[in-house]
Amino acid sequence: MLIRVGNLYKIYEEGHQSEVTALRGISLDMAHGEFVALMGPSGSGKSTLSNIIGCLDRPSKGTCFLEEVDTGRLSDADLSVIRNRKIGFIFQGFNLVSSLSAIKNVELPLLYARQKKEIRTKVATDLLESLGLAHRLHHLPTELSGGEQQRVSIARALSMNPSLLVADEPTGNLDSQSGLEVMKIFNQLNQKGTTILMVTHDPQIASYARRIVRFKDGQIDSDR
Amino acid sequence: MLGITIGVIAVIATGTIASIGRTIIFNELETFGLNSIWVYRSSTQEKPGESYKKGTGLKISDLEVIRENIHAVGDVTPVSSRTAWVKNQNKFTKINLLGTDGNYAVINNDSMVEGRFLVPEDLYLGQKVCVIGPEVSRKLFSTASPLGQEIEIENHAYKVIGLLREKGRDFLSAIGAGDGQDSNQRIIIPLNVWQSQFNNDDIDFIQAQAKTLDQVEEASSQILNLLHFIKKGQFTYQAETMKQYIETADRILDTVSWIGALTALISLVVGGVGIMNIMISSVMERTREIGIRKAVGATNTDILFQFVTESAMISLLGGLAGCFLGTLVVLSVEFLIDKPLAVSWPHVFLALFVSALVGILSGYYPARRASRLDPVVALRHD
Repeated sequence: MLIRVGNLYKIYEEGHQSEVTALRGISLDMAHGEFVALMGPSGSGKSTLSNIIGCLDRPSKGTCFLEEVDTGRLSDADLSVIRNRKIGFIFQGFNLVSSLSAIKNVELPLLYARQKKEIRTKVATDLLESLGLAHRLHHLPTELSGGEQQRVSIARALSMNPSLLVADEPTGNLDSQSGLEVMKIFNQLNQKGTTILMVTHDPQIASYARRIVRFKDGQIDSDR
Repeated sequence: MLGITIGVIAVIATGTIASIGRTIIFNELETFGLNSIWVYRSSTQEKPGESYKKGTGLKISDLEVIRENIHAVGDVTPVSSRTAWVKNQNKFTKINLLGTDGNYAVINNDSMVEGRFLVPEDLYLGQKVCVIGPEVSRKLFSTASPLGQEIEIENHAYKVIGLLREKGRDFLSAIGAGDGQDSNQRIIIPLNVWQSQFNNDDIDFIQAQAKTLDQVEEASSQILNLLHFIKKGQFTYQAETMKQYIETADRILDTVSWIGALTALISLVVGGVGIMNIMISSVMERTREIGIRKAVGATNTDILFQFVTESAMISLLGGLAGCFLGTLVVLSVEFLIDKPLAVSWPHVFLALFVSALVGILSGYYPARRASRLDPVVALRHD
């Protein structure tokens, strides 16, 4: 099992008047090669869970195992390593570094993994070419369309050959055409064996996944 | 960043000026003989009742006593001086007339452009011969050679046997040292001739040369003790050494250095604060970027290192600008004073090192704040 979430809680401002419980006792398993969509209204906890699974955040209570390692107990430095090697993030707002070119953005995880320049360049170039961006290698994000930026983001997420892709509203800032292109790419990746965890509020986008977990008020409502 | 630039300019300019100043002043002092000691009757330290005594009490015989008894002394020469009018045909000029012997040129590092200096025969025979300074020659003979010419000094005729080389005395004049006269405006005649022309067998002062620089203080106090002993307390004498002028020069240059260092320090602190502000703004503006970098695997240390390096780079850039402008300042001063200057490289490297250090120190606090940002919070930032 790739991911095992056990009785997970996430509480903000614990002990204060403004205390908010975003996740209440979530339990969830995810196997290698799955394509899972987390759905639910705004504030239901789906992004909170994907952040914890993606090691961007820690649980307040409960466990979250990634490849048999309890990530909730790891140090900041260890979490950084896991984010670098095991997780690939794709965000709604693309989140590319605006001062770096497309290829430099894709090389970023490789840079933090201390890979040599030749390897970084080759991996990044190959990925961008496979996503149809061979002619955009040295463009800045401001010189790219939304769809192109998201594809750069996907290339960056894939650069370290991660165990899991975490995509939070990947088509939220794209027109329907570009959105479909991105979902096609996700399909292809999943067919090749890439595990994908996707957060979305759009049922059409969610239908690309093979399993939909619905959230409501910090708890799992359904899981099919 | 401007503070860094100014600080670096201050360091380079004052460092160079101080070290070159030392060389220039030393070179000037060296032309006057670094081991020199001037001994003269004291006007400030005399005992009660002494002031009515006329003259200096110094005689030619005192020199022989000094030579024989004080081993730290190399050469000694007697000097009497006064201002006088000199005339050649229809040209007049006022000069400083010195009566002395052949040792004078050796002790004072005087050299000749033409002719020769005084020799013992001139004194022995009481010859009315003279050696003139370059400014005197220019005024009396313009560009023609003065050798062999006759001039009138206070209505007495003298033959010119030598022309002295020019000597700079910018520093010594500036601190009011030595005999206070322009050495290029001298005429030198044999002491006994001077004494008979002006009817005065006292010597104004004795100039001695210590054998080595280390022996100057010792020789100076020994001469004074000897003279006070010989004169049986009738007169009080004091001595001045070239060393004192060297120490004065050092004090002045040290002050220049301190002022430069203080300016540099203040500028660098101001610059450092400026850079810290730049970096704090930079971190705030790039909060999202920091979140992205952390999301793709940057550790807290990676972020800290990135921002400290950026800060050091900005500071170093200011430092390089300062080096460039500082060098221009030195070159301008070199052009203005018409003397060769060399940029003091140790000061350049010190300045660059310090500017990088300032960058690292002032960037550390903002960089630490950046490294501690929560990635989820940072990613939500605008």
